[in-house]
Amino acid sequence: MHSALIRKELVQCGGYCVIALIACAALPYWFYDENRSLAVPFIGGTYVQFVGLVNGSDVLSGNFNFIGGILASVVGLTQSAGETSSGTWHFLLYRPISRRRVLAVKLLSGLGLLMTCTAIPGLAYGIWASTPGTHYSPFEWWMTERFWQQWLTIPVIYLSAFQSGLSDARWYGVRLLPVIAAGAFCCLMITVPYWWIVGLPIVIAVVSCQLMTLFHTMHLRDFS
Amino acid sequence: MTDAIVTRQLTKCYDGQRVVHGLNLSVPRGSVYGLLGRNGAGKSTTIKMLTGMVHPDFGSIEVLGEDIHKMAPERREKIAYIAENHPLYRWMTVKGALKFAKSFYRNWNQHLVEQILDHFEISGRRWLGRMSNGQRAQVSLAIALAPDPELLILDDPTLGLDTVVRRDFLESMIQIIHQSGRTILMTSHILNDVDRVADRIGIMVGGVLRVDCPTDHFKDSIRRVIVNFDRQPTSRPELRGLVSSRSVKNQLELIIVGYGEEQRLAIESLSPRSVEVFEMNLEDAFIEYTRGPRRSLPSFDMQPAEEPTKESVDA
Repeated sequence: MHSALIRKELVQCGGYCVIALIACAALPYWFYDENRSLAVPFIGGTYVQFVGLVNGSDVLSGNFNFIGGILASVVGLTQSAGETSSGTWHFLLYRPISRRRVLAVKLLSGLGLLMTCTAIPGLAYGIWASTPGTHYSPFEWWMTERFWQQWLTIPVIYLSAFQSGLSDARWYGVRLLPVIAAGAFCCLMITVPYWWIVGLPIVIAVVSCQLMTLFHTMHLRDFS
Repeated sequence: MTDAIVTRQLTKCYDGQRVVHGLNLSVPRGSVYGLLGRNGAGKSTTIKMLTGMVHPDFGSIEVLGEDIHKMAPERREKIAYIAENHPLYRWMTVKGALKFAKSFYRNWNQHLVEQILDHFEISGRRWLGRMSNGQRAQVSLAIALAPDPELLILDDPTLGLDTVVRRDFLESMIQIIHQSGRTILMTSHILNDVDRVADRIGIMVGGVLRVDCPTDHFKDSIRRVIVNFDRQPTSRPELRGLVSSRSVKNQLELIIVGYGEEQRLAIESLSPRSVEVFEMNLEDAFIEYTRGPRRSLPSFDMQPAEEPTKESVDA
C-alpha cells in the first residue's frame, strides 16, 4: 500500500517538478547569454536578487532555489489543499490505513521528490562549472556552500505550505500566512553567520516543530 | 440480532451551533437503514462521525462492536464508505483507481469488480475525469464492494444521477449487497429510492433523531385528514400527534402521526360536514413531517376580477 501511495504522490506532483526543472534549465539562457565570461559560479547570488549578472556575481544558483521555494509551496499545497478541494481526503483516509501513516508517506514522498528535484539544477551547474574548459573563472566545490544552505531551508517552505493546505481556514489569504512567514524565514536565514553551527540547528528546530504541528493537525482535524 | 452501528448521545457543534444533538442511533445488522432529513439536518455530519472523518464533541460510536476511534485501521476493511459526490482521483484511469484501492486491502474480490464494471459497461482504460458522475458512482460502488465489507455506509449515493442511472445503481446495489445479508446505512434526498430499499428509516430534524422505526410503520402511522366544514373553521383542534394543519376556505387539512380513535373523536367534536382520511407515501409523509412549524396557507380571494365596462374604460 505504501508503494501505491508513494506512486500516487509522485505522479500527482511530478508534473510541477518537471516544469520547475525546465524553468531552471532555461535560466542560464536568460542570465548568461551575453556576459558568460563574467560569471563566477555560485558566488554572490542571494535569494532576493533577480537582476542577472551584477559585476561578476552569480544569481543563477539563488534563482534555482527561488524556483525551488515556489515548487515547495506548490507541492505542499497540492498534497494537502489539493485533496481538500477534490474531496479525495474522504477516499484516501477511509482506506484501512491510519491518518498518521498517510501523512508520513505523503511527507516523505513529497520531500524526497522536492529535495531531489531542487538539488538537480545545483548539482548540474556545479558539475558544469567544475568541468575544465567551460568558463574562464575559477571554481571550487566549497563555492556551492551558499546554494546548499539555501537548499536546506526549502523543507520549511514545503511544510508550511502543507500546513496551510491542511488547516481549516475560511479565507485563503489567512491560509497562506504560514507560507509567507516561511519565505521570510528562509530569506533571513541567508544572513545568519556561522550557518552550519547556528543556522542549521535553527532550521532543524523549525522543521521539527512544523512536523509536530502537522501530525497534531492531521490527528485532530475534522474532514467534513 | 446485534446492531451494526450504535451511537450514544452523539453530539457535534460547529461554530457554537449543535448540528447533531444527543443522537442515539441503532442500525440492526442485516438491515438497510435510510437516514433522512432536510438540508442541514445533520445527516452528513452523522455519517462522517460514523466513518471517523469527524470527531464528535460528545458521545460514543460503536461500529461492528468496536469504538470507531479506537478501531485498528485494518478492521476498516469490513466497513465500506461511499462519500457524497464519489470522490476519486480524476487523473487516474478506472484500472488505475482500482489498482490503487486494491493495494490497501488484504481481501479483494477482483471477480466481483470485473462483474460490476462489465454490468455497467465501463472500460478499465477510461479516465475518471472524463466519466459522468453516474459512471464514477458505479466505479465507487465497485471499489466499495470489492473488499467484501460487512457494513456499507453511503452518503447520498444517488445525488446528481439521472433517473435511469439511479435506478440501475440502486438495483445493482440491492442485488449485490442485500442478498449477502450485509448492513447498509444510507442517506438520500430521493425518498422514492429510500422507500424502495430501506427497511428501516430514521428522520433527523435540526440535528435530533425524531423518527426511528420500520419504513412501513412510518408510512402507516402518518395520515392526511381532510376535514370539511359548512363554514370557515375558526380554530384548529389540539390533537396528540398533530404535525401540521392548514386551512383553505371551509376545509382543514391535518397531518397526524399515530392517527387513531382518540384523534377521530376529537375531530368529530368539531362538528365537521365530512372527514376523509388518506394514506401517504414516504415522500409526502416525510415532507409533511419535516416541513416545520404548523402553518396555514394564506387565504387568497379566488373570485375573478370584474371585467371593466366600456364606460369605465372611457372615463
